[in-house]
Amino acid sequence: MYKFVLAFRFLLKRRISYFSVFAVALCVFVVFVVMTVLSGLTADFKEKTHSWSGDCIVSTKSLVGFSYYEEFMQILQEQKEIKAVSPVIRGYAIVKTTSDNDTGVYVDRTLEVMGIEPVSYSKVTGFSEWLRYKTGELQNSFKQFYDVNLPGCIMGIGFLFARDTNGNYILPDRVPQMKVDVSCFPLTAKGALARAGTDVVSSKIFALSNVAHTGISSDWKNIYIPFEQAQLLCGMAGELKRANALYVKFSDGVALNDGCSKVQSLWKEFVEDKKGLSQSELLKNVKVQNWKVYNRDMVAVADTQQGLMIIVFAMMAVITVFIVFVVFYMIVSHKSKDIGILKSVGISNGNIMFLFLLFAFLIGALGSTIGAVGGWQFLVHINQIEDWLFEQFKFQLWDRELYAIGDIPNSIDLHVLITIILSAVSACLLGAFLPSRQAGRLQPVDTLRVSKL
Amino acid sequence: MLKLFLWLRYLRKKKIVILCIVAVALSVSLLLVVDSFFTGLIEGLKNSLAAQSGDAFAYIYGRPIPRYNAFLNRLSALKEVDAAAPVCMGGGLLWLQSGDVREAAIKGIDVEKDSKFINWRNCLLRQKEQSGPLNFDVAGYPDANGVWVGVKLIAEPNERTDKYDTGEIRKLIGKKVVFTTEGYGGKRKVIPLRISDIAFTDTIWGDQTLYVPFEYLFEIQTDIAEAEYANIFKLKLDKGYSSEAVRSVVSDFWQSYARQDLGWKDDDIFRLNIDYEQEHSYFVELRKQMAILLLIFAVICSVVVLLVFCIFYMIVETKLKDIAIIKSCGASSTTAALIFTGFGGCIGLTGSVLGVVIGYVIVRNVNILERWVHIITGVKLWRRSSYILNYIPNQLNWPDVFPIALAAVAGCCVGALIPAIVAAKTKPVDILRYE
Repeated sequence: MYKFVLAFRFLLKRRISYFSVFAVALCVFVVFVVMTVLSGLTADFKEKTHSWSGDCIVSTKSLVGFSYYEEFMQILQEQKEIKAVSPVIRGYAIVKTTSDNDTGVYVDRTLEVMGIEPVSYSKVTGFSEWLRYKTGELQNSFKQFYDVNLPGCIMGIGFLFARDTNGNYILPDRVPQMKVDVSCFPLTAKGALARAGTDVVSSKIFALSNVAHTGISSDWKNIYIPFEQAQLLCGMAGELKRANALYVKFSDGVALNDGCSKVQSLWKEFVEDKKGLSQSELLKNVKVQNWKVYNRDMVAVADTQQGLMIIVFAMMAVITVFIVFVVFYMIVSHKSKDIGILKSVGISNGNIMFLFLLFAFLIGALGSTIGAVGGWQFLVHINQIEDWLFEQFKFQLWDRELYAIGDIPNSIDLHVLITIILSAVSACLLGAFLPSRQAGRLQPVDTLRVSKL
Repeated sequence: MLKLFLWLRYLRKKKIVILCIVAVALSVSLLLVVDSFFTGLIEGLKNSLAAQSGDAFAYIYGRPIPRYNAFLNRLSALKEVDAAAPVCMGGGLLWLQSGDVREAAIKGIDVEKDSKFINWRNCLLRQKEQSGPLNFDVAGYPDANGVWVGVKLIAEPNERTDKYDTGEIRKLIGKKVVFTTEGYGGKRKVIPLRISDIAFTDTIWGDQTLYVPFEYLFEIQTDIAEAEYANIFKLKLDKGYSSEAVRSVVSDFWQSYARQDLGWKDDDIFRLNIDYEQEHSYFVELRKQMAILLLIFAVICSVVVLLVFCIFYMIVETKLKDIAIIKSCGASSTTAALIFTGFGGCIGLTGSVLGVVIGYVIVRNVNILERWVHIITGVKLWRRSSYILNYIPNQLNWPDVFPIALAAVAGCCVGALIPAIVAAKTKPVDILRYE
């Protein structure tokens, strides 16, 4: 009992311990806020990237695509590990909008055209959530009603609309009327440009039927058109139809690596089966990748940022250890007589050590609690604070016109919080260990004699 | 003299002070590393953008300039303009082999003039080790149209090591590729090319581009077969000139050149437009992000002030008798206080110097450290093939060294202030008596 009483007494009476509590609180506050915001941004970005491409992608970088994709889709759909599969055409097109459209925006540039089947695509990706205008049934995604003779297309939201200072797109109430001329490069299976002939169409006019807001760079890069139209425009609708990718969604509970390994082994067998058949050489360029590897260029940056932050915060933990060490060293030096008295009445070395470690624990726990509560309050109001800063000083943490960020992420991850608190308490215990051990080893005969000059 | 003697003595005798110095050094080095990294990143991006596109673009709409060499020579002679080169760009499809076609950008460059923007020799796999002027020649194919191909278009780095197999890539030199233009004036053109060299440009966009001689691509795009015609120029501005000033100088020069040398009418003359890439708000935003990050780190490092305070408080407490003796010999309270604030400054200075050295060593060797981290842990901190810059910036940002070091010294003095006041208030009569 005396250990608890003394530990509390040290904490309350020794003003120097307040500094340790403050230092721990400050570190916990900073780490908690920065980690929550950064983890939120990274998780949000990864989630959007994941949602954009499904769990696993069977694809080729070549714009020629690969044949026999329908057969492989069938094989995949028979597997219990696979929930849904969707074929995708990814081509390259010159896209021109007519200047007399509702948005006043004129687009004339090369874009990535994506041919999709809305129903299957939405089972694999977050397609249904990206559409900013409600269409009812998903198969109607490409339907528009102002020019029924034209097929519909969906454009990335970034091309057409501006954002307000909060990062929200300013959209009209209904889909703007806009005609879009899409000119693709139809390719033969060998990769040559298909010559103009009776069955080759490379250009077609579409009417805007919806806009897609994925929250990633595809909002400025992609135009979505019906799968069959894309297949035709890219020269893939021949006798042996081709596609560029199959997006795969795994059943619930299937681990990403397990699912991908399964698809990889199925693909290997499939390629073996098709050996020697016409256009089978195209299958050699195909890779089976999980969404992280497939989107490596985007995901790697986020992963590195998170890794670097963890290294920096580890350095903060080292500084906390230093501070606690110094404070305890000082307290032990000051309390040498108290320790001498305690030991002279029969308290063991271990108990003295325990007493100081308990004191360290209290500092860590109190500092962490203050830091966590402060951080939590700050995070709860972080968007309001940013709004106020913007109103008063025109300052934004991230310029919403440049970054696809809406509100600053502030949802608290309990795992992160618990890890930070445990790390802070551990740092305190670590910092206090040596001084505590020194306190335990003090001899009453040395500490209790009267000092002399 | 007494103060100096005591500072040095405390530095030598009080081992706990080393902890203080280490903490200051760590904080200073941390701030320097973060500052240098971000500054290097921003500068690297600006430089690579400037290397690829210049500090500014001058467009002449509709009508190309004849005899552009004469125009550029005179333009480069302006003191505001360091270099100028013609460019033309486009996009299309690159056929690599049967069934393998990729999207690619294509750029026409005047090698001699462009070499003032980018060190092409260092970027090229084959010609790096060779002397003589750079060329688009293909050994064994004297009539072929040579192309320098950005490495990312034809190869992929090893997934684990993130390195390109240059031995394998070298085998692709001389290989036939076909480029299909995206359609200039509605007409797509198919251009057979042979790989003359492989370009490693240090930037992700530069590594995804094909480079051909300027006049060759200009002719394809405009059907103007005569030599020395151009309508887009990139400019490298001389340091120390504001973009606004250069804009008006180039504009004035262009007007007089067009009138006097080309004999153009006013309608054509005013078709010049100058676009300054470097003023892009992206860099402003990056600098803001850097400032926010530095602020966060500065808050973290301010904890060191607490550390200094604790240590000094402890030293003062244990040295009360020394202080009392000094004061009893006639030293004033200010002298006693100065001993400790000066000592704080001394620690700040030592820690800062050490921090600058550590920071310098880390920053200069950051790429080696990253490689070692990869070898030991398998973790790739900087995936070169994925990032905009394919190197980690490794230049210390010297202009910020002094302010950071000064802040560290000031922080230490502040940390030592309260203990110094305690020392100043020490009364010898209370301290020196027996208990």
